[in-house]
Amino acid sequence: MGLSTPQSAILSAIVFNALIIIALIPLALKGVTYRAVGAAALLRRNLLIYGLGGIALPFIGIKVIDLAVTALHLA
Amino acid sequence: MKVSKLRKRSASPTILDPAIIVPAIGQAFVKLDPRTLAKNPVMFVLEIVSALTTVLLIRDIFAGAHVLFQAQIVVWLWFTVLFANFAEAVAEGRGKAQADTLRATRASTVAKRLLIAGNHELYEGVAAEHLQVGDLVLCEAGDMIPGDGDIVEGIASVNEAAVTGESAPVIRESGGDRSAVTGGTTVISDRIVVRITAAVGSSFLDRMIKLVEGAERQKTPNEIALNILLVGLTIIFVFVVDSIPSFASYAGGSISVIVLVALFVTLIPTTIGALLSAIGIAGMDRLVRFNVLAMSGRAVEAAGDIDTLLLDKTGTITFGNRLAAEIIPVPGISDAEAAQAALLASEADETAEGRSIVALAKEKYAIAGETAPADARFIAFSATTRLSGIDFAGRKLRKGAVDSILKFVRDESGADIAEPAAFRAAVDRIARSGGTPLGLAEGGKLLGVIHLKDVVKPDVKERFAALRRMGIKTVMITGDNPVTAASIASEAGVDDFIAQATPEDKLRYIRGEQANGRLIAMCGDGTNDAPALAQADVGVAMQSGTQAAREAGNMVDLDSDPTKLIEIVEIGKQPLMTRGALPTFSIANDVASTSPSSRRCSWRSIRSSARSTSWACRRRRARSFRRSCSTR
Repeated sequence: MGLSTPQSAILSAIVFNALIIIALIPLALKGVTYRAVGAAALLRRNLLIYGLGGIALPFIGIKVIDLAVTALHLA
Repeated sequence: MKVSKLRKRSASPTILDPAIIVPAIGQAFVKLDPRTLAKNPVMFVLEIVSALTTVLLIRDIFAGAHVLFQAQIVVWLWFTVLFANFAEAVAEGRGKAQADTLRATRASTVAKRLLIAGNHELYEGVAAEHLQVGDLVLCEAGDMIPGDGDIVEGIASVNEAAVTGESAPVIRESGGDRSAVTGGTTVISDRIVVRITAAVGSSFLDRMIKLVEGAERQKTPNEIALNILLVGLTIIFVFVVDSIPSFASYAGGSISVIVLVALFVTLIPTTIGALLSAIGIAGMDRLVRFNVLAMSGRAVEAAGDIDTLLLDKTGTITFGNRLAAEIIPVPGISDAEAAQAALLASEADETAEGRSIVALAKEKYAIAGETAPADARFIAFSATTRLSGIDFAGRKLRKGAVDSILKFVRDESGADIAEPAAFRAAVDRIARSGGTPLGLAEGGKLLGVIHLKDVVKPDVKERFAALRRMGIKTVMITGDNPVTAASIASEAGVDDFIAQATPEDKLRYIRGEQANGRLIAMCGDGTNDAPALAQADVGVAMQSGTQAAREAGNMVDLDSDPTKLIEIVEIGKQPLMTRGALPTFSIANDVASTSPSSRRCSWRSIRSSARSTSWACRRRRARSFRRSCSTR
């Protein structure tokens, strides 16, 4: 992923882990949009959005935080 | 039954409302108390880890080590715990704001307790909190009703805005299905005598405050199951991370505690652990905002899992008011005679149908408003007899469901009178057109049929189709005969119907469905609905209903709108879906976010010892072996 140092990678992962909670509060409170479709279609859709999103987002998020951490010389 | 427009109690506050955010920040620190946090295992583990690393950090500071990196990790660990607490506090804060408004309406009042039952002049002033169950209280215009109770005497218009948010006054009277009053509401006109039925602290308003505050929130079965999964994952990762140092030392390297902690924290499902209770609270809150009070989180969750909806035809599937369209006499009876009888039989009937019969008789058949003598006895409609009418001067006038009227005629005349062909033809014609035939009789003599027109609401068919796609079966309940019921059922597109339903039929149907492992939701307002409401998995009682119904159900609809049952199911599904979507996200997230840190720490140990370790050598040897295999 081309993160600067091992230390900044670890720190970024921890920071991401904390910030994602704040980011997801609106979703938790608002709830997932309800659609009147069957359970199978719903599962497929949710797996696609939240599964793939859940895999992709940390890579982007951690990279961005790593850049910030490096720029601020925190690790 | 009051059918009001769907209305939200208040506009949904935005997430960034400072009135919620500021106290929530304070609450986030209060919730660090391990006794509170112990309810949330993942966060509790995280707090322990944070505390331990803090101790290590302090030790290292005194040892004079370079601790910038370590300190940052520790700070962010604490932030993670605080953010989780903050999420829960924000969810709770939305309910707390509502509880405060409710509490303001529960201002202590002085009740007028009657000293002698029946004597309205003799009463003593008693503080509302000292009232006891069974006390009789006089409430006059302008008085606040001091506690929950049943009206034993009188009729009054009551402003229930304190509870329902609806400022239009409602009529409450002794006897019947509208006798329940709620403490905290205000009498606007007339005077009533109320028998207190709820002790201080367990009144409807008290329960409502506790519910919206989340003080009585219990974990739902689903939440418990998810929690067990999260605890399981956490325990597994404790062992996984514990085993890493031995691998590392085998490889000749070493990994600092702080790196292991970081790895552990990214592995355990912190995101969902942090948001789980917020999702549950938000689900309850969403219902409250929709003016529905769920008595437990379990009820909200059951609403999301409902397989079968029992819907009352009237008011839910069709417009509440069936209106009389024509009066068809049997041969030998004149139009005027039949209309006259219909008018008299409906005189005391305050339902929309009854009034429409009176209006029809007066307008279309030009019957003068002959009123029944004062000694007339009114027979109120009951779900068992399915008849109503009037007795006076030896005359017995009845109107009601056709088969009940036939039974009445046979019982009165003592003979097994055959149904006239013209009567049956009229009944069938009305039924086929989707209308409701009402039989009309005087004593042992059949007079005719009243045609009540029933109009199916325009959008219900699409909604039932949507429910079917979700796998939810809709069942229409009606007192109509099977022919009428079938006609309306097919027009509305419901899956099944129960015609000529008595309260026992409903109960039997619910038990039958439950025996097949299905979850049932229904709504009702009368005392005779209470057993079925209690038996159903989700029983929505109408706020305008009787005390018995409100006690029996596990939800109360403050708008008294039976249509909302469908929305309640949709709202119930939301926390379930969110609880499904967020762990998917969280676990995918953990897999992905762990990879940078774990790769980094394994590289570190490997790199530091690559020259000497057998592990790395073996990997290299394996790779060269594979290469040699493939070239061969």
